[in-house]
Amino acid sequence: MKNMRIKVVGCGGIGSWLIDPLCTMLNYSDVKSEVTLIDGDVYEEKNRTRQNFTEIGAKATVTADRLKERFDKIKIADQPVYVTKNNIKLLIKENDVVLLCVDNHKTRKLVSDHVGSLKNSILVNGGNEYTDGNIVVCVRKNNKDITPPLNKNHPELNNPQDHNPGDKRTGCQAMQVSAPQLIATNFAIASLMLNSMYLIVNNLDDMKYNEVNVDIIINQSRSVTRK
Amino acid sequence: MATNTNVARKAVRAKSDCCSTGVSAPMPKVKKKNVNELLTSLEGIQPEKIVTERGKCQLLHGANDGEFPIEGMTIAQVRKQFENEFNIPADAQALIDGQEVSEDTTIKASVTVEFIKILGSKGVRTSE
Repeated sequence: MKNMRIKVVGCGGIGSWLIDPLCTMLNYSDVKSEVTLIDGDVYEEKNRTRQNFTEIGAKATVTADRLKERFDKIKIADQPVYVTKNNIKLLIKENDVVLLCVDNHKTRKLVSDHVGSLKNSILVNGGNEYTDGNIVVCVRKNNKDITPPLNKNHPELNNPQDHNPGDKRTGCQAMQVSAPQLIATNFAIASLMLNSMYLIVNNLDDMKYNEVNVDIIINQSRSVTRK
Repeated sequence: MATNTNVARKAVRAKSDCCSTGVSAPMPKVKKKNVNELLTSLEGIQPEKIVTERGKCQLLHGANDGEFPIEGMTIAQVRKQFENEFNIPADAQALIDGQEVSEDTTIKASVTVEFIKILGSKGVRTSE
């Protein structure tokens, strides 16, 4: 039986819709899985408009507690922390499959750089704006990039202008204002990430793309292989 | 230009921009226009010249995909003309046949023009 260690970074707009079907798929598969939920944020009442949760509290913890009651074949853990340069080596390790569902490029760069330093890793990044979004799949095997790293075709990640909520703010650093989000777009991205996980679990060699774009206005997606 | 898709995007943007104020944006009326009207909004270009003389190219952004007579236009012109129809962010990188190009690059016939950007950054605006 295949073993798989999955780290879901971000349990908010995208992550909260991805986690349940992900665990359903894994629980009834031939893979022996460990799923760790990583998020330093808390669910609040205002999140009910577009995030999937039942209980107010630390996102990673309340979600893990809820899933443990449903899924007996998966080992589920929680890390109610933000990923930072101080903890990333403890949180994300060799051979991990990382599902990156965060809302800032600072954390994306941190995670992308770290998985790029591992010999074997798979990173599935998901992100969206109001009505469109994309996922990118980055695979490393035997210390080589099988697919391009996240910043190769997206150099805007090399100098992110936003903020990692796990980093301390200094001086008069401005608070970020959230861009509005739609549940439909969040859910569409979660679905694309789940689709890629199906192939990662069953046969990664069948994956003929490394990026998928979706637009909910035209209700269309387009998959791409970038080099 | 105001194709159906463009009108829908403008309505969605208006709604998202006014969410914080609670004011509802009126839904604009749907009005059909064709590709020639789309392209003649650039000054001094005649529709007959565009249809018969400009070569067609593939234009891509996100899930949007189409073939348009944009030969001879610059990247900046195409970005401006299609920003609403194809939802192209102002800071999306432009590629021609997979290679990064600058805004003043002139487009040749039969190439693929793509605008790309990785999405999902919360801090699109800041407040103090």
